[in-house]
Amino acid sequence: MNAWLKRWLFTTYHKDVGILYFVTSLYFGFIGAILAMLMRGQLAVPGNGLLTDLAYNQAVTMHGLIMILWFLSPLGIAFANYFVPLQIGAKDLAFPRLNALSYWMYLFGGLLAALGFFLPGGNANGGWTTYAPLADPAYSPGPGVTVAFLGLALLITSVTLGSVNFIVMILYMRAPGMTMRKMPIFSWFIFFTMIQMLFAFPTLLAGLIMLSADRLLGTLYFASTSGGAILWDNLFWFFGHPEVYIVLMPGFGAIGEILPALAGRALAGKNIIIAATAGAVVPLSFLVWQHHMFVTGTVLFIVQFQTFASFGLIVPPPQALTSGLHISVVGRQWSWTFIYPNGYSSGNLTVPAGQDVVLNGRTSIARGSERSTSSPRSLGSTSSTSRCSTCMRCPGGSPPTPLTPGGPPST
Amino acid sequence: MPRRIATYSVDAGWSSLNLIASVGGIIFAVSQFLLIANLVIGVRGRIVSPPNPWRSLAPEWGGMPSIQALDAPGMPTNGNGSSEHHEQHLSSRPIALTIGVTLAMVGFSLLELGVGWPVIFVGLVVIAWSLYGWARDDLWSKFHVPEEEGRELWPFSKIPKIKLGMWTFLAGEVILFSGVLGSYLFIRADIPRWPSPGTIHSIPIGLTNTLVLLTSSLSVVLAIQAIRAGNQKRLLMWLTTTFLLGALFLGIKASEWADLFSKGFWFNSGLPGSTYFVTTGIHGLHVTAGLILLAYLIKRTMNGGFSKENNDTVEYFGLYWHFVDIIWVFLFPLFYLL
Amino acid sequence: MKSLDMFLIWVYLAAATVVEVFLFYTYAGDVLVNYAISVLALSKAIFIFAFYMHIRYEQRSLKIFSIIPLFFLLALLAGMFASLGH
Repeated sequence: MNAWLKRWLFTTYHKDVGILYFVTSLYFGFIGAILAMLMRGQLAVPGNGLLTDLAYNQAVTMHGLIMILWFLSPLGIAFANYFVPLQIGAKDLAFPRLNALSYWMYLFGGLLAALGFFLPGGNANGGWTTYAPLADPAYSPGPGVTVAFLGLALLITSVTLGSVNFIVMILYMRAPGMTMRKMPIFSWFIFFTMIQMLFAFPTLLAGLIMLSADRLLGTLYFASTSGGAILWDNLFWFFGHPEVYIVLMPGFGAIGEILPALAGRALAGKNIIIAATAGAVVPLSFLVWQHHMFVTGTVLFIVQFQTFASFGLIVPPPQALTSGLHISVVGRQWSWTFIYPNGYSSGNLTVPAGQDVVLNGRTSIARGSERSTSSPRSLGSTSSTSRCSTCMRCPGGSPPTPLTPGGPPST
Repeated sequence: MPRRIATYSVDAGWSSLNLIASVGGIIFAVSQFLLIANLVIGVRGRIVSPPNPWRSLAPEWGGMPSIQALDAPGMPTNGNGSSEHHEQHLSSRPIALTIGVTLAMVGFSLLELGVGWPVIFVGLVVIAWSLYGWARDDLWSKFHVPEEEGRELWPFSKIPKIKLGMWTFLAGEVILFSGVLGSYLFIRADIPRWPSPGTIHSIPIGLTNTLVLLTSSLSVVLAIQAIRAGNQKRLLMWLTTTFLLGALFLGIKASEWADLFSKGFWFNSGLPGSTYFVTTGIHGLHVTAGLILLAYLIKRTMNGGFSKENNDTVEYFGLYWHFVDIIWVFLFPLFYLL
Repeated sequence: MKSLDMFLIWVYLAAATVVEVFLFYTYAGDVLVNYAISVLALSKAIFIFAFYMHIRYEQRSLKIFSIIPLFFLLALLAGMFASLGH
C-alpha cells in the first residue's frame, strides 16, 4: 500500500486526525446543504412535486441531524484535535488510537446515516429530534430508519471516546509551566465542551438503544401510553440542551482566540469568562432541559424553575465574553447599556415559558415541544396537552394511523 | 407559515415569501463555494507566511516562549509535513474495528429484509480480528507512545494517566445506565399495574447470580493484591477464577432468558418484558466486554507480562469490573425484589 | 488493605444480599421493607465503590471526580420524575 494511503488510513497523529475531521465535516456540510436546497426547492412554489411528503420529511430530519451532529460539532473537534495539543504543549492526545477510532466511527456513522436514504422505507423522517413514538416501527417502518439510528449510535460512541481522550489530555498532559489558569481560552472551552459531551451524549445513547430495541426486538419502551413519549422527551432533551452548548463553545473559544490576536491585545477578563462558563453554563445546562417541554403539561413549579434557571444560565458567559472582546478590540469598556442588552437579549427572548405556551410551543427554545406529548393514539383522550393537531408535521397534515394491524399493545 | 409542512396551497398567500427565501438559499449556497475556493487556493498557495504573522501571544504560535509548543504552525518544520516523524503512530486497528462495527450494524438493519445474519457474521469476524490485532499490538509493544516527563498534573498528581481515563469513561457509563435504569423507574412509576416480584423472575436464581458476581469482584481484588506482592501464579489463578465466575454469571443469565422465552415471556410481552430484557441485556453485554478484556489479561499474564512493578492494567480492569458489579447490585433488587 | 479486609467486605456484601432476599420473603407486603432493601443495596454499592474500587484511599481530587457523575444522575432522575405529574 503506498505511503500516502497508509498515512491517511492508519494515522493516529492528532494533526492528521484534525485534518481528516475538517475535510470530512465540510463534506457532510455539503450533503446537509444539498438537503437544504432540496427543501427550499420544494417550498419555492406552492403545490410543488419536487419531493413527496415522505421525502420532504426525510430531508428535514436528515438536514438537521447531519448539520448539527456531523458538520458543526466535528468542525469544532477538528480544530480541537489540531490546536489543543499545541496550545497546552502536549505531543498528542492521551490515547492516539482511540482518537483515530473516534474519527473513523464518526465517518462510518455518517455513511450509515446516509445509507438510510437507499434502503426501503427511506431515512429517518420524524424530525431531528426523532420523537418517539413517531420513530417507533409502527409509524416509521423500514430498515432505512433503523440504519440511520444505528449510525447515530456509532457517532455517539465516537464522541464519548473522544471526550475521554480530550479530558485526560487536558488534565494530564500539559507542558511544564502550563497551569490550568494559563491555558488559552480555546483549550478551556474545548475542555468544557468535552465535559458536557461526556455527560450528555450517553443519555441519547440510552434512548437510542431503547429505540433500536423497539425497532429490532419489538420492545415497547416508546410505544406504550405509560409515558412513552414523555420518556423520550426527557432522555432526548437531557442530551439536547447541553448539546446546544457543545455546538456553541468551540466557536466561542475560537472567537476568544482570533479577535484578540487580530487586535494585538490579550483577551480581557479571561478568568472571569472561564469562571462564568464553568460556574453557570456547565452545571446549569444539565438542569434546564425541561424548557423544551413547556407544553407537555409538566407541573407549574418545574416550569417556573426552568425559566429562571435558563435566564440565570444564559446571562454570564455571553456578557463576559462580549465585554472582554470589546475591551480587547476597542481598548476600552463601552457603556453597559450597549453591551448588556446586545449580549444576551436574543437568548432571553426565547426563554419565558408563558410566551412559549401562548405561541403553542413555537419559540425557538421550546421548538421541540410540539410533538412532545403522548402518541397520536391519545388524540381522543382527555389529555389537554395533546398538540398533535397544531403541529402538522405529519404528511398530509394529520397524524398517521398505526401501520401494522392492531397496532402496538397498550400495556 | 407553519413549519415542516411539505407543501402549501396557492390560497395561503405564502408563495412570494417562499420564493424569496428559496432564491436566498441559492445565493447562500453559491457563497459557500467561495469559501471552499478560498480555502483551496490558500492551502495550495505559494506564499509562505513568516512565523507568528499575527504576533499572537498564544502558545500554538510560539507566543509563550516558556511553553514548548511542538510543531507549531509558525515554527520551522522539515517542509513536507509531519508524516515522517510519526511512523510509530500508524495503526490499522481503528479503521478495521470501525468497518467491522459498521458491517454488523448494517446487518442488524437488514434483518427485517431477511439478509441480515450473513452481514452481521462478517462484521463480527472483522471486529474480532481487529480487536485481536489490537491486543497483539499491545502484547508485543508494537504501538508505542512515549511517556513524557514533568507534566503539569494538578490536581491529579498521584494518578496514572490510564486510571484517570478509566474513571472518565466510567463517568460516561454511569450516565448511560442512569438513562436505562431511570427509564425503567419512570415507566414503572407511570404504569398502574406491574407483576408482583417473584412471579416472573426467579429470586433464588437472581440471588445466586448476585453472589457469583460479588465473588468475582473479590477475586479481582485478590488478583491485584497477588501481583502487587509479585506472585504471578496467584495472579493467574485469581484472574482465571474471575473469568470463570463471570462466565458462570452469563450462563445463568442465559438460562434465565431461555426459561422466560419458553414460558412465552418475550421482548414484546408488555413493558415488564421489554425493560427486563433490555436492561439485563445491556448489562450482560458489558459483562461480556469485561470477559474479553479479561481474556487479554490472562494471556498477558501467561506471557509473563505482569510483575510487581508493572501491574496497573489489572487495577484498571478491576475498576471496570467493579463498576459492572455495582450496576448489578442495583439491578437485582429493582427487577427481582421490588 | 489486607486480603482479610477484602474478604470481610465480601462477607458483608453476601450477607446483605441474603438479608435483602430474606426481608422480601418475610415481609413482602410492607412498604418500609422496600426502603430497607433499597438502603441495603445502596450500602453494598458504597462498599464496593469505596473499598474495592479503592476510592477511600485515593487522592482527594479523584474522590471528587468520581462523585461528580452522581450529580448528573440525580438531575436526570429528578427531572424525569418531576415530569410525571401530567
